[in-house]
Amino acid sequence: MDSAVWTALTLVFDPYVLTVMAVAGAFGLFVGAMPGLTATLATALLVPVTFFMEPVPALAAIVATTAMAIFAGDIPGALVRIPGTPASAAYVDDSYGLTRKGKAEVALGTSITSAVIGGLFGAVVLAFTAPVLAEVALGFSSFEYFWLATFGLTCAAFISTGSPVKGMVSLLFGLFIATIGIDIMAGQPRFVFGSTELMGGVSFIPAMIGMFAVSEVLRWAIGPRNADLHVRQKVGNVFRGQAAILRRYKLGLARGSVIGTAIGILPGAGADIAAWITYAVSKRFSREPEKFGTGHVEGLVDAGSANNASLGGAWVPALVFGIPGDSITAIVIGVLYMKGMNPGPMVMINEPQLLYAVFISFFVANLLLLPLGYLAVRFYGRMLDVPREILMPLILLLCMVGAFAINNTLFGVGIMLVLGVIAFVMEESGFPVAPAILGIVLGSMIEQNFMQSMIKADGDLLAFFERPISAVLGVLTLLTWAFVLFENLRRRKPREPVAPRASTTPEE
Amino acid sequence: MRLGDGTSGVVVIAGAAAIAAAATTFPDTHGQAYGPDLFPNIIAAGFVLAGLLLIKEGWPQPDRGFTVSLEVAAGGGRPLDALVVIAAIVLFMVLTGPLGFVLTATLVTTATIAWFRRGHLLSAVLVSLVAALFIDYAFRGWLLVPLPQGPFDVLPW
Repeated sequence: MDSAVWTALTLVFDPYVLTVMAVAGAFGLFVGAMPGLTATLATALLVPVTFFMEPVPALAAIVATTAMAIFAGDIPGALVRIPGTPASAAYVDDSYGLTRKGKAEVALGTSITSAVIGGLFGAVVLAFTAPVLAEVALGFSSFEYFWLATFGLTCAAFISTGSPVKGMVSLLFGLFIATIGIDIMAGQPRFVFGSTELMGGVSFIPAMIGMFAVSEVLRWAIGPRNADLHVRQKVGNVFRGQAAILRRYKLGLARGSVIGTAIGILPGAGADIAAWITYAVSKRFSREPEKFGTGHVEGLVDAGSANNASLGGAWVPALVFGIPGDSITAIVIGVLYMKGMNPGPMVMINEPQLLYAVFISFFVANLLLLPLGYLAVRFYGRMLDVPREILMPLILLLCMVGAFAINNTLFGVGIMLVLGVIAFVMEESGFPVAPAILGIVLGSMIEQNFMQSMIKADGDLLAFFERPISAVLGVLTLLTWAFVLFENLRRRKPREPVAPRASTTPEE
Repeated sequence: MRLGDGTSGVVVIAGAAAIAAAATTFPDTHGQAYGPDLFPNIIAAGFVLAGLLLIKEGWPQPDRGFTVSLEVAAGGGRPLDALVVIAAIVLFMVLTGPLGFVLTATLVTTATIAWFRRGHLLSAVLVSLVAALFIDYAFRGWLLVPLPQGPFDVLPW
């Protein structure tokens, strides 16, 4: 066996790493199962702890947390008709419909098993695709990287948001935040206003905690409170009858896994979009489309497998190119940079055991989902008993400690507060937050590659299109921007109002 | 707080002007045609374009144009509760240095829980104290984060 694979196996099957994965998985289940708290928020809260870990347990913890949180969103969806994460909203009518028919076990069992199968499929694709793409990426220069990152950000800003212009503003805001501090090319301080704390730039983790977690706490504080969330139905053995269901809908299971993985690989599109699209495709090709939305298990199988499959897919561009597939992998890239590792094809050459460890972690996390998911379903009623009025202040305390812990200064807490308030106003006004986070993570990489390319080409912009791959990526990016601009100018009628939370945040 | 599209456009353009104005103060890089002001200026240009498009979108809509609303999308409307969250963070920043983490975290979390639950002070104190001690142990004792201890350096870890 390849020595790197063997090393990765010994790294992941270390009792410490397995314990970290189990604890992180339980944490992900808890956060994902709480209505309103997302998998991205779970990852954001986890990062300050992973900061102090070795790379493999840190990445394994994130993998376990996200896999569990995405599944856990199905639990409140099925039992109280409140999807725990946006990814679970696509099929909530069917899962809750099954519960109303007295088949809560079927709904939750299907959620677990299809999530496990989809997640394993995504992991297989990740394991086989990433090394091949890494070989291709080795030939990339600053031109290709500039266009690749710009295209990734373009997709993130335009594809998954209700208003492309607002996605663009959010992205530019993130890129601006990334310019604060010492300029990487000339060493010139920019936008620091005399503050020595800002010289090193805006720390990614306080920014992310503020924009995802503090804004969520603010939204909860100001919004309506759902008092009655008690589960009245007893849930028995969720795995009974699952073999027959999976056999019957094996084609949909395979289709959901493939679509989910493919959507995950696209920059900017994550589990929620994967679930919605797969659910629509499933209904379109079903022999019983009229049953969808009434408690039918078919859509649940397809979309349930798609949202977990997308997680593995999203790691492909993140690990191979350093371009995140969704907001969770944007956080992962931030973690990799913090650990002194530049995500990209060189990781495959310099530290292949790390990549293999990530692949293995995906398999382990998805298999752990079977027992942990079962336990989460059993104890879900007690989870919901924790009053939000206690939970939210505790999350706020964790946010403050996490923001402090990165640089051991209260300045990080200030950054968290300012960006949290800005993110809250942005989301309330219909601006998505995820493109801003991607902009913060990728801003310095884009600027560095852009400036290097400008200096290499002596200012000749045509040089950005002279190499074949950079020409294709460049044209694609410019076409996307031109299309959005053209659509915006062409539109005479005003847009229908967009619900700020429902459709503008590609956040799982 | 919600900004109409037109108002957002004006804010975005004002931000672009501020970025461009600040970028004029950056010195040129010796021997290079492209300096540290280039990328911020590109961002500012993008902001201007986006701002104009937002103003265009908001212009014909009286309800979403040049408006600033204190309502929230989800309904509910408890601005005071949001201010409590902000005040809790500010208090944490001010008090952690002089009082230490455990005491500040207990005080701030107790006050926040008691405010949101409209009472239940004893349970709020108990939950907050246990949480503060657990986090202090995990971050200071285990992860070696130098959380301020303040004048009461009595904890065994």
